Amino acid sequence: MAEEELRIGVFVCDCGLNIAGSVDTEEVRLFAEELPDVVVSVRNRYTCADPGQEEIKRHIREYNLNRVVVASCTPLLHESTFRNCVAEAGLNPYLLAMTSIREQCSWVHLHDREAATKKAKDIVKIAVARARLLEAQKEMEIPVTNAALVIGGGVAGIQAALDLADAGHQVYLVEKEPSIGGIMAQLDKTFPTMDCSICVLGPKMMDVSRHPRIELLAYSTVEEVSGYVGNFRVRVRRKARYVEEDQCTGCGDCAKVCPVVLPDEFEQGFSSRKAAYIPLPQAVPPAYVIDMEHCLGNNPVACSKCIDACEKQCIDLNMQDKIVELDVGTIIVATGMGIYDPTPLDEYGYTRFENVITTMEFERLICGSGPTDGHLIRPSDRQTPKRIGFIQCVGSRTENRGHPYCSNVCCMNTVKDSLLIKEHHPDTEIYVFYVDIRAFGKGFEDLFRRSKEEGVHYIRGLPGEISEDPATRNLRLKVENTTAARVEEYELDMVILSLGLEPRDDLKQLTNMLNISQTSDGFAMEAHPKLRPVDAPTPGIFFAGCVEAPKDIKDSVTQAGAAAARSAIILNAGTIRSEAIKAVIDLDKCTYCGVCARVCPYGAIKVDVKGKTVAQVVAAACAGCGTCAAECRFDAITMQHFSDAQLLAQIDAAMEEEPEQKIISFLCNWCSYAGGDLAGVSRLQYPPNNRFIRTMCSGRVDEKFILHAFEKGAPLVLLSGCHINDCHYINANHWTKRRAEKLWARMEKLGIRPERLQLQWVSAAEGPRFAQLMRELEEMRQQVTPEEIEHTKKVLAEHRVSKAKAAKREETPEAEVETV
Amino acid sequence: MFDMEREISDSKIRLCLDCGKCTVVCPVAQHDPEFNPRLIAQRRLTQNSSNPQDETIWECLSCYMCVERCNYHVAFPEFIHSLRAEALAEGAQLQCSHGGTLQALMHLMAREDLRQDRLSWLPQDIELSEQCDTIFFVGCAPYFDIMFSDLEVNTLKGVKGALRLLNRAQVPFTILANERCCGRDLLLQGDREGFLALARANMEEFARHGVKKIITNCPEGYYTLKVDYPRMLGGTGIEVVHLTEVLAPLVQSGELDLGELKTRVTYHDPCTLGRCSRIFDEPRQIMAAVAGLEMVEMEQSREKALCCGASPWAHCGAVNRQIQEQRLAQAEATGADILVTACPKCLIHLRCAQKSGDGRIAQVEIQDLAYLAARSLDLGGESVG
Repeated sequence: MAEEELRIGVFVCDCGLNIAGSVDTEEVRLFAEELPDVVVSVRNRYTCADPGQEEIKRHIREYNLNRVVVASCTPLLHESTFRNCVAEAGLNPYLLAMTSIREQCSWVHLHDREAATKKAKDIVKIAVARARLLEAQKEMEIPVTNAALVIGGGVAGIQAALDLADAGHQVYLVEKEPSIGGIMAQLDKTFPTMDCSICVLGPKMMDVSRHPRIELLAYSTVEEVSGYVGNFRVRVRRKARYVEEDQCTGCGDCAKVCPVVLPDEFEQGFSSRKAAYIPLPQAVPPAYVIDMEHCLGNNPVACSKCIDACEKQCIDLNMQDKIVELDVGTIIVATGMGIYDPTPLDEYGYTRFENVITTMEFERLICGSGPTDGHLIRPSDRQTPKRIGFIQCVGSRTENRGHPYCSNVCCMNTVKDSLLIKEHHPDTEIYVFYVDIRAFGKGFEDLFRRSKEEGVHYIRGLPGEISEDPATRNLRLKVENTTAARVEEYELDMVILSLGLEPRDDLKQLTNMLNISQTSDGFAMEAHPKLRPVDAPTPGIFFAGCVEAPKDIKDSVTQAGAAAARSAIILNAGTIRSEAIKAVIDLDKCTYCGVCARVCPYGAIKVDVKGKTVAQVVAAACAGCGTCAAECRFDAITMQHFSDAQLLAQIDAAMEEEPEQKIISFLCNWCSYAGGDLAGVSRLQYPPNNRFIRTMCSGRVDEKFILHAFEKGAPLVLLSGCHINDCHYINANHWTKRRAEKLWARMEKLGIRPERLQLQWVSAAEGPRFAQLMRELEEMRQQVTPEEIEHTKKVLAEHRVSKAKAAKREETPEAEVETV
Repeated sequence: MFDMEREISDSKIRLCLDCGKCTVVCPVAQHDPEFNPRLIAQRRLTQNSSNPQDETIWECLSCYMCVERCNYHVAFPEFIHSLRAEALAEGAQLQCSHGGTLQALMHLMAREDLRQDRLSWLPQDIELSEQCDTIFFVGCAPYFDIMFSDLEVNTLKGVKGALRLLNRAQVPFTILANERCCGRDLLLQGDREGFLALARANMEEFARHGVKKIITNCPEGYYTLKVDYPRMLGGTGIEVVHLTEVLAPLVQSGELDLGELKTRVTYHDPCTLGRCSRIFDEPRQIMAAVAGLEMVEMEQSREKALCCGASPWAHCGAVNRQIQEQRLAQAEATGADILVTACPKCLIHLRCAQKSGDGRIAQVEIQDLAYLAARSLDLGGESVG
């Protein structure tokens, strides 16, 4: 774009002595003044301070500047400062190019003023080259639907819904089961307070049902989610209950006459329910449901006893599922956990020995509203067990049937259970077989101590086998007491397996729908484990509770509050602004090959390959990584603010003089560039031959940039980004890696040594690694001969010409699409 | 010579949770309270020069029951083998059984200039294919029969049965005249040099004859040739299969018709074939294909099979005997007429217990699986032998 005359202002910062101490900033200023299109070049002592900023604004006005280059500290520190500064002077903030002559120059070349100054001049030249091609951008303002979807009605979902609704937002709470409450509703007591679980949960469940701003969709599932932050469209299937939810009085007459008897899942199969049933007495919504899978039939109606019994006449066996479309601004995923099934561990005999039960089964047996009214009996003879053993870590901390992680809650759950038993029957002998007792939380050690004081025996060792006495149905348990270093045998009346938690079976469906990822353990992946623990990498989606990792009720509730708060930030804002680094499709060049849609980590591009419609970027969902632009073989995608032209111009600027002395480094904003900054902050010294080019993501780096650098005479090119699996843009760097591999193959074929393209991942924490890498690269660069460089230039020039000719011929676009 | 620290890491012993499940399921620990696999690991990992040598490392049977139960599948037997090698290198003495004759034989077999006359037992009617790159690896059966003739082990019966079955199934093979012992027992004892000598000698034989595939009915030979040779020598390029892996698909598809044998048997899974190599189904499929054969499982079978108490011809003692007694009692309890096994060492050790004169030891008849299956082919009961 050259409609108007370019008027670039360059501002070189001394930063006190931070820059001026090792770089001759006056020389840099003078140099910048001579560059084409630069109308003024200014030196400031502290550009970021008020006087410095005022100077920029004054110069913009006085010199009618339409581009500003600030050469100072790292943009990661002050880019937003200077963007605001130029905006205040009436210039579009995206017409600012900021570059570091401090962290990436003055601080790392403290002892070679000449070389540091030379590098600083180059850095400014590179920034000016970019500035020439910058365009004004408008940040998207996306309106936000003032409503939230909470998926999952366990304690986390309930809390998140209540917090958001109390904050004034409309909430849709979708729950798969006929009633909300989740696992917590099935527990008897909770640790460490020994509160009655349903007693504390029940009122919250009631609050949900009464809240004017919560619409509860129970017995419903999320079928499809489309859209993006602020504007999600969700399709929910409301399953037919066959009972009018708001008419049902919960009288239970239908259940009394229903002929179908089934195991009661809520009671862990210890008692039965009918096909017409209510999952628990405190169910919310307080309505019965007909389990149509087991009902004798509704087409034709086989039985109808329930209809006859219902006084309110609110049973309709012809009900159909209903589809509901919801518009929401944010989504909180609180779908909870699954529980490990210990049947494969046949050395423990679960399902073969009646008196070996699980912790969930125990909860129901000890619960006052459970199948035995809270009388602790054992399954085989319904006698009160006098000797009870708990086996810890069942299905956890193992690669041998189960999961490798620790399930967080089982230690304290058993401590709690042991105290419950002692409460009911103080004379019971209780043995807990453990590897570690993890009592890390507030009040946990105290509860553990109480348990020991009550006489619960803690034996360190996990049983190797359990056998059953066929006459008494007692269990014989063999365990090495590792503290005593001897094998011991225990005869017990009942054994309780302390089961681990696991991701739900149906989590994969949900993560696919929402375009979020799972960690290697199968739980939902958070954006950052420390700093963004409840955010999904996809904007607008949050997590609460065990869907993200095993945790107890306190942590679930805490997370729910956090998720609600972070949701509320978006919902309260009314609109959200999105940084103007988006992919823009050139509709004429797009061949609807579908590659861009495949590689986008956010699913932000829609293409109909078969229907032959051009690619469409959902700008609000686009995070700006640039992978699509790099992968598009038809040059049909432009990245705003990081265009191909800008990047090529930067390479040209770097390679204009003495290219054989310079190493071109492509660094990613979040990791490798930040790693370089850290090297600077740490004052680690390395040779000054590096010329960096910053992109948001290593995925942005197109093969053609690298080849262009080589064709211009670069001896060495570094391609660097976040470590695999740590990519700021979920997995964009997998494409970077693949591209590098393809390039190496191509370089080899062309007779260019593949080692001249280095692919190295550097994280933001790896300052020393960055410095060491720079030293190693300089050593490598010195091994590159002038003849090699000349040969490379020649070969690449020829290659480029022949490729251009080939591109005129038809090519099949689908051929190269692969999944990562 | 070998990198002890790396071997320790490779076994994953550092992941040990100290849960003690291994101690509970270990057959040796059951009979000898001094033996504690968990503590062996603990002692070695925290060892400094002031601690005495751990004498108990010689008792492990390499039965892999601990691996079966361990949360991290720690390769404890391999760890033990490394400890033994370390101990021998530091001057420990191996307590060989049978006067060290088996070890002497193995060392002899490693000699380059070796000429053995080891095929005189081969029946005339066994067909060997000329120019075949598949061999049947016989193993030490010819020597076992002589050494343990007082036990009437007749391990060659199993070999001959295997050969007849292969002929009947029309599987081409040949037999090397100068096969060496696979060396597994030396590896288990910690005699690395001895093992490598045998391994290299065997590899040279194989190379000289262009061997591409090996069939064997000895589980020890099978595992050693298939896993230990590549692991210790760096790849062999030879495919190794167990006899039952060859025959089971053929009996299932009907290509190989086994005959009839009306008797009740029980099957002892050899540790090296079962837990170690995960071959549990194929032997059972073969037995199921014999008409009239009733197979009753012992209380500890398949992955939980109790070891036969076999030693690597060293440190064999009372505990081994007690384990054999236990196993034979389990076999007797099934009411089976015959205890079938698929390993010559299981056969020898169980027979040894039976012949010990201890009245408590169950005298159930023991037969090799290949022998049994070949018998059913109606080749006449003893003509196979």
